[in-house]
Amino acid sequence: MKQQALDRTRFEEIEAYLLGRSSDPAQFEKRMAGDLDLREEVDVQRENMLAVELGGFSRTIAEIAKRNASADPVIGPAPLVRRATMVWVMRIAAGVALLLGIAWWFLARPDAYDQVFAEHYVVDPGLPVPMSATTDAAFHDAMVDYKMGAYPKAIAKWNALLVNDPQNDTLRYYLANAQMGEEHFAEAIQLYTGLATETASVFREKAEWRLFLAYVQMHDAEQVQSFKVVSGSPYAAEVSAIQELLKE
Amino acid sequence: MIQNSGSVSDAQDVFQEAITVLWLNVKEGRVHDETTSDPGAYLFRVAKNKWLDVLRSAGHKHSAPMVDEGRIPQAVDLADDADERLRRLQAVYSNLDEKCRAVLDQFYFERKDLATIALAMGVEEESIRTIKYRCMMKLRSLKHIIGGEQE
Repeated sequence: MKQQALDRTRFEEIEAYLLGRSSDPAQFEKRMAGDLDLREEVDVQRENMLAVELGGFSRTIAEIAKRNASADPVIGPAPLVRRATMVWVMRIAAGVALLLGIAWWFLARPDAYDQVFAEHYVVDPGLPVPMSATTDAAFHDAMVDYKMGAYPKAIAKWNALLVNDPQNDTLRYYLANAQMGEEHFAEAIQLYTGLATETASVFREKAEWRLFLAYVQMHDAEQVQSFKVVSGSPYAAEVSAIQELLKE
Repeated sequence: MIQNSGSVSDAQDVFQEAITVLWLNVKEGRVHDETTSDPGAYLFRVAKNKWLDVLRSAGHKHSAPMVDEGRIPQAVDLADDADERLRRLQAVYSNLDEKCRAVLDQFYFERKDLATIALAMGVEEESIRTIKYRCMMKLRSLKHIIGGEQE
């Protein structure tokens, strides 16, 4: 790894990848595979972030232990007295249980963005598929895959249709939903962004709402806070409430 | 531990260390199935081994362990590796000044966003972003130094 300073843009790009906020992690991993220097930078940054987390974790449990100790300073060790010893054993056990709980909480906790996304994101159920669809058979075939959760198949089929019908808003909306289902957020954002500007599309408001949720999922605080919905959108209140919540 | 030459303070220190070892091992995915199914038992084994090490160390030459069943291998291997990593990581972190720690802790450990940190510290968001970058570059340069010394 080179010893010279790491460019800030590159640093933040690595940081976003390591924090799971990269807009295109697959592309980043592809670059890493062919770039030894980048791989080494990622390893160093991962290690440094771990050092910081470890520092924070150690500080937190030390503070908790200190608070516990000062909360009951009267009791002291009395090894020859069985009852007092039991009290100490129980206190330590309680302390351990508390620290364990905190340790697991820190490891498993979802952050505010993840919580908001989990609470508000609902998979679009898709369109009804007519039994005797003769028109748009290919579209409906992909819709069946979408409804079954077979998103890669649906994406492949709808992408093929999109080549000949790039302006079809129904196609783009459900393709975006399938991309969300497959956690291809960058692709979904691109499609929703296009739909959100089309005043004539019936999917405009829904696309706008899902675009907002995609930004939430990406932890993109800047986009979340600056997001504005069209006048009269049924999602305006929810967007506003989420923005306020994530400000805190 | 209390029945085996230790004080309450010793017990707290050892348990804190054991929990930190557990945290690091879980964080890095270096845990056995039995660890995840019963973290309390794992902690007990790590803590017990740590205390036996302390008793054998120079400061406790005159304290014979009451029960010395030897160290428990499975927990020890993971804990020893983690101990070494803990020391290295702590060495790097200890070189950060208070300002760096405050910003980096909040961003990477507490997972607060830049705007929240900026508000709490009464500065512009861009300043926090710059401080974060500079502090991480400081860690990066320390890593070079520590890595160089080890090699």
